[in-house]
Amino acid sequence: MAWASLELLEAHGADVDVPSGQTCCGQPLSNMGAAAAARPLGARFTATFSGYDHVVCPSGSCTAMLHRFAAHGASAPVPRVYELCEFLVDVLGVQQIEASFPHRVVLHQSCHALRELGLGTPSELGGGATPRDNPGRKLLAAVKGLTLVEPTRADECCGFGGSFCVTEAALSSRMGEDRVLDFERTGARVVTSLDMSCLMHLSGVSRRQQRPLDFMHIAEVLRGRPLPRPGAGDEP
Amino acid sequence: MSATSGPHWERAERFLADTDRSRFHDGALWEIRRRRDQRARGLPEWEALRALGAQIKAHTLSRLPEYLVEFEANAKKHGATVHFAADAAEHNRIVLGLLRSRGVERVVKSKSMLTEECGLNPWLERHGIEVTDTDLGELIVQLRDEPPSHIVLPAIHLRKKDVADTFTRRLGAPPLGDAEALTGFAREHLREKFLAAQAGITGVNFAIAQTGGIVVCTNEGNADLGTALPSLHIACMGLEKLIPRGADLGVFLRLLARSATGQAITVYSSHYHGPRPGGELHIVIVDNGRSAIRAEPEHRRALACIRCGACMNTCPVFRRSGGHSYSTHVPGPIGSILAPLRQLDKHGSLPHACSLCGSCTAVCPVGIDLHEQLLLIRRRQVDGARPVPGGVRHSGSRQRRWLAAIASWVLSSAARTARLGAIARWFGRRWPGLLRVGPMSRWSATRELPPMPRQSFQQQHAARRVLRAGQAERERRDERGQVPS
Amino acid sequence: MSSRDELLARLAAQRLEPVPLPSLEGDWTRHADPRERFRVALGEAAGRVVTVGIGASLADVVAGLEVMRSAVICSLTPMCLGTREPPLEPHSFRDVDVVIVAAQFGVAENGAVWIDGSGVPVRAALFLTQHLVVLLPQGEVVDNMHQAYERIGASLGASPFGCFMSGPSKTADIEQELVVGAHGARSLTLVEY
Repeated sequence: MAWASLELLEAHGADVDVPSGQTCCGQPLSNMGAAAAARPLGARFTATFSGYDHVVCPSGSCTAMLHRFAAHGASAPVPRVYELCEFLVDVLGVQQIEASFPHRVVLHQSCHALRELGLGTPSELGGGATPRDNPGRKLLAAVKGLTLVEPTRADECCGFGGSFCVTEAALSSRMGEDRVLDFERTGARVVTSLDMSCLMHLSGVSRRQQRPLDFMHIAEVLRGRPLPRPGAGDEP
Repeated sequence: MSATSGPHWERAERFLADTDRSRFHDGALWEIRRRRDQRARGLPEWEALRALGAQIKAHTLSRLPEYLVEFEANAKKHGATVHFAADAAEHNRIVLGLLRSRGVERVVKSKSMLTEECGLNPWLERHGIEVTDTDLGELIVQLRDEPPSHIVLPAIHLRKKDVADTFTRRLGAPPLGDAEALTGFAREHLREKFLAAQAGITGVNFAIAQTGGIVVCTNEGNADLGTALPSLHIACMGLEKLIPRGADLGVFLRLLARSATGQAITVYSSHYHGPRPGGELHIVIVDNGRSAIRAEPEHRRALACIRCGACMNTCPVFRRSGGHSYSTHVPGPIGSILAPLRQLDKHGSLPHACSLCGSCTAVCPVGIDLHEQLLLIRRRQVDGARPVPGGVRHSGSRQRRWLAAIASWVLSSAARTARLGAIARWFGRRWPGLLRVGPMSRWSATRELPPMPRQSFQQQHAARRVLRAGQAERERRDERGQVPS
Repeated sequence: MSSRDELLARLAAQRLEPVPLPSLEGDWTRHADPRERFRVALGEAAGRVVTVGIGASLADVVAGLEVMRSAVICSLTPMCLGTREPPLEPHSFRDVDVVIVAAQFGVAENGAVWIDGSGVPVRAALFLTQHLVVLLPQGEVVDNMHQAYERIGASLGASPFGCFMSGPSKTADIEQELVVGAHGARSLTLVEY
C-alpha cells in the first residue's frame, strides 16, 4: 500500500520524501480519550513534516487525526495534510490513470474519509447539503477495465473503530460480516478503500469465513497491482 | 427477560447470539433510516431546517430561566397549574400527591421517556395505583415487565410471536397470528382502560413559552384518549422541552416525524392550552440533572434533543445490539451521552459502544455532534472533568492515564516505535499463535490477522534511498569519466 | 426556597453566551398544486379523499359515504346531519360510529388538517369514535407548516385544544407492520367541498 502510494505520487510528478522520524498520528490514543498523551505525537508530526510543501497520507483516518491537531491549536503551524486521493485530484489535478484493473470493484467508504474529511457526500444528508467531490470514486472511474459496483448500504461503518474492535469484539465482527456480505452480493471481486484499517478488519473477517473477496487499498488498485489471491473467486 | 446490569459489550454479545432476532432488528431499523433518508432528500430545505432547529434550541437554552418564567405565566393564564421538580423523587412525589388528593386509583399513561427516567410506574404501583401504558409498544413491554428498548418503537426488539405469547399469558388472548389481529385485541383492551381511567399522564414534545401551551405528538391517539376522557391531565416534561414561539413548531414538527419514522408528520399533533372545561391540567417541569449539563459548555447542546430516535435508527451499534444493551432509559447515541454525564462509572461502557462513524451526527435534526460528545466523555474517563460551576464532577482513571503515557512515550520516538514494530513483525511471522491469546484473542476470535512483512515500509524506503543515492553517485562518476580531464 | 426558585436561581447564575433567536423566514417549499399534493399526502397517511363536484351538495355526498351506513352518527357541524345529538359527556362517545367535524385548513406537505377545538365541545368525539368524516373547504390548503402556523396566528391558545390530524390512527409497533386503526379513529374520510 505504501509503495503503491509512493509510486502513484511519483508517477504524477511529485517529488516525494518519506521522513524517517515519523511514528504515529496518535489516533488510537485520542480515541481512547487520552488527548493529553496524543499531543506530543502531534508536536512530533509538526517537527518531522515542517519544511515540506505538502504532506500526503494514504489513510483517511490518520489524515482526519492530523487535521485535529491543527484545529486544536498546535504550538507551531501544522503543515496541511492531504489524504492521498484528495491530493492526486485536487493538487496534482490527476484526470487519467495509466493502469489497468479489469475487475469488479466495490468501494468501501470509510467513515473518516467521508464524514470527517468530507471526501464525498454522506448518505445521511438531505436536501440542501453542499455536494462534495469524491476523489476516490473519480480516480477509480479513470482506471481501465474497472467496473465499479454499489453496495446496498452506501456508507455503513465497517466496524473497525480502533479499540472498538477489541472492546466490542462481537459487535465489531458482526458489523464486518454484514459489510462483507453486502459487498459479496454486489458481485464484486475486490473491495477497496482509502483506509487500510477498514480493509484489514474486513479482510480479517472475510478470510476467516473464507469468502472469495480480495481487499486492496485504493493506491494498489490505481497502480493496477495483481490480485493477492487470483484463484480465490470467480468473476462473471 | 434481560438483566438490567452488565456492560454494554456483554449484553450486546448476548443480543447478537440470537442471530435471527439481531438481524431482524438491524434490518427493521435500517428500513426506518432509509425512509428518513427519502424524506430528507425530498425536502430541498432539509439541511436548513436542521440548522434552524439547532439554533432555536441553543437560543432557548441560553435564555432558559426567562422562558421558563414566561411559559409558567402563560400556562397559568390558561388555567393550568405548573409544578417544578428538582429531581426524579420530587417529580414522583408531586404526581402521586396529585393523584392521591383526587382519589385516583387508575391511570393511563402515554409515552413519556421522562417518566421512565424518574421510575414513575413502579413508584405509583408501590402506592397502590394502577398504571396502564397506552402506547401499543409500551403496553407490550409493560406486560412483559421489561423497559422499552427504543424511545419511539418500544417493542422493536420483539417478534410477533413474542407479542402473541404475552397477550395470551397476561391478557388471556386467544392465539393470534398477525399484527392486525394483535393490534385489534389491544385496541379493545385499552379502550376499557381509557374509559375506566381517572387520570391521564402524558409527556410533552414541546412546551411553548409564548403561549403557555404544550404539544403532544402520537400516531395512535392514545395521549388524546387519555386526556379527553378522565378530567385530570398531568403532563410531565424535562425543562429542555421549551421552545420560544408557536411559530417555531413549524420547524420542529417538520423535523420530528421525518427523523423519527420517515412520516411527514405524526397522525396527531395536539396542542393543549389549559385544561378542558371542567377538567384540570397540571404540568410538572423536571430538572433531574439537566441544569448541571447546561452548565457544561461542551455538553449543553445535548439538551437540544427532541427525542426523535433517528440516532438510534442509524447507529450500526444500536441496530445490532438493541436498546436493552444500554441499561438506561434513553439508549443509543444520545443516551450514551446523557447517562454517563449523570453517572460516569455506572455507564462507563456506553461511550465505548461506538465506532465513531459519525452517522448519528449526520442525522440529528437539531445538529448535536453526538459522536464528538462521546469522544469528549471518553476523555473524562481518562482525565476527569474540569470543574465547571454548577456542572458535573467526574474523576478520571489514573490507570488509563498511565497506559496512555506509556504508549505516548513509545510513539514519541522513531527508534522506539521502529523497535516495537520489528518485535510485532517478528512474532507475527514466527509465532502468530502468540498474537491470538490475551487481549488480541478478541480480534482473532472472528478475524484473521494480516500477514506481517519482513521489513517496515520505512526500512524499505530507506534502503531504496541508499540504493538510489548509490546509483546517482555512479551516474555522476560515469559522466565525469566521459569528460576528458 | 422552593424547587422552582432554586432552579431559576441556579439557571440564572449560569452565564451562557447569547445566541440570537433566528428568523423563520426561508425559501420554504411551495407546491405547484397544493390541493393535489395535499390529497396525495393524505392518501399516503391512509386517509380517503372525496371531492364534492360542482352542482353536488355536500350533505348528499356525505350521506352517500360508505361509512355512513353505520348506525350512530354524530355531526359537530351544522353542514351535515347525524342520527344522534352529540353527547355532552365524553364517555358517551364510546357507542358512536361516525363523527363529522369541520376542519379549518389543510397542509399540503403532510396531508394534515388543523381542527380548532372551538368547534369541538367534547374532544373525545375526535378520538373515541370509530370513524371520522372531516369537512374541508376546497382551496383552504397551505403549502407547509410555517404557513400553517402563520395562518393559525394569534388564535393559537384561544381555545384549550387544537390538533393537526393526518389520517386515521395507526401503529407499526408489532414487527414494524403497519396497522391502520390503533386507538383513535379507524378511518378518516376527508370531504372537500
